[in-house]
Amino acid sequence: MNPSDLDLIHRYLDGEITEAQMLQLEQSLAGSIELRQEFVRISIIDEKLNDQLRKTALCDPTPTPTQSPTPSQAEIRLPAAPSAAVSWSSIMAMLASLALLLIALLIGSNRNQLSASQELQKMRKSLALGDRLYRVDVEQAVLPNKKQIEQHDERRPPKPSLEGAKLYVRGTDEFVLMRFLQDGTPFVTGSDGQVGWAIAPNGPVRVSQDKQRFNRDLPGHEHSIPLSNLSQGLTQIQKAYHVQIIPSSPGDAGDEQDAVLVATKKRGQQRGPSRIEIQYASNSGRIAQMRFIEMPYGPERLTVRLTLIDELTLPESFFHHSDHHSSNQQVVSDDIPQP
Amino acid sequence: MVDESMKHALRHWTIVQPIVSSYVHSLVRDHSTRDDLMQDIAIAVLESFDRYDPAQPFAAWAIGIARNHVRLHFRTVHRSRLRFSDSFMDQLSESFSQVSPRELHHLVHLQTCLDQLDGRAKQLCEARYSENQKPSQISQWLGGSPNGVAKALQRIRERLRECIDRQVQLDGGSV
Repeated sequence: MNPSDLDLIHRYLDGEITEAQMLQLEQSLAGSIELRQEFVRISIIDEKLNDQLRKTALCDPTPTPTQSPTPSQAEIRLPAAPSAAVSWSSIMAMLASLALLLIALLIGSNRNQLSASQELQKMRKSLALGDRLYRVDVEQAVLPNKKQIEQHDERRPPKPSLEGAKLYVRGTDEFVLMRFLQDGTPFVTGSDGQVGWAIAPNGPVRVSQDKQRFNRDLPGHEHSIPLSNLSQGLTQIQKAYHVQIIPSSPGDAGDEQDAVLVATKKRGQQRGPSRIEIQYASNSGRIAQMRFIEMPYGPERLTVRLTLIDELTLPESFFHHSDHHSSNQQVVSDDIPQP
Repeated sequence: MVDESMKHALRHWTIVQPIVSSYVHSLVRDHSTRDDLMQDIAIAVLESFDRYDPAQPFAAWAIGIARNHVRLHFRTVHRSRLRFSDSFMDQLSESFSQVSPRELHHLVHLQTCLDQLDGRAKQLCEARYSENQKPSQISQWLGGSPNGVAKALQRIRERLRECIDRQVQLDGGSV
């Protein structure tokens, strides 16, 4: 085996091969079974390293030399996982979940011809009723690399963690998002449908006539899937995602039947979460939980879970900023004065 | 309910899925693209299982479906010139279909071998795989020339393979 052929295999796998070298590599591989076998072995190791170390990176937030320990990264809470023997167990877990998903998909496609658009419409109608409280959980956070951090707008301050945040929503444009700092101090942002506002700890209350000014504190606003306006998100899902409905097994008569909507981003759609799963009641369209997988959030990519905690009737004033700060706290406009 | 034929298909697919995934990854070299393609390939394999000839190896058949999906991907989405020709992808699919599940199972030792790497090698691996940096980018952070980093990564992969082989022998298996 020619050492330069081996070099080319590694260059190819590292993404640093030129067009001429690519042709040379293909010729060498095509002419030698032994070299092709070597290519297969190295490729398999390369793929497993990729999978394994990406997983480890998710489980271990310790910064490497190419990661800056920014405050926002430090706040990300990551699930602890045993480091030993992750490989085989994670492969098996992935296979098991894939098999289950496929069974579910097949049951869904064979036994049920539910129309995705009808189901989405049902959900939209359900969202229009009353006020709702959701809990936000961050299941996973893919940490950005140095380059991505640099590309991100450095003028923006790091965002407080979404983990454990409470999100109150009414209709399509009223929301209150309560995030909590590590000492439990709330950082509250919201909109009453006319005025957007933010109340940072130890600062004035910032208000804006742009009711969506502080939507950016929630992921999804740049991709037409703002968590504060799930109805708009459902419309975007219909446009930019492949949608499949997976009904649950039939239960007792009279039970509210659950179903899962799985939306996978269409090829060529560059922005937004790669996949969205919505667990809902198939009779009423009432959404119990939404998962947004690999959702862009600043320079990070999060897997965010939104769980319905309560359906309630909040006072009219709840979505106004005055309901969330003392009357003597300074209120300043965030809008640029018109000349 | 899922019928017997589908259960059969799922059993087969569960066994060959890792090697199909490796084949796809070796061609597209991007984990997100691989994951997207693997979803489509899994559904295509199960949907067309009634056309599978049990006299033929299932891995080769599934890799054949994967090859068609990768070709389509290259034609419609990713028109990079830095890719293998269609005819060579056929040759490569044969080589991948000859990998045994037992050989893949040896990768269970990968984590043990990664733990044995020295600090510098671990840094290089993290930069290359956790952060998806190319050798030229890594050299800017960790020092050295791009070629030196590429060579070091090559040696690390070779050491890991040797380590896995040793672990298999220690377990009483044959490499």
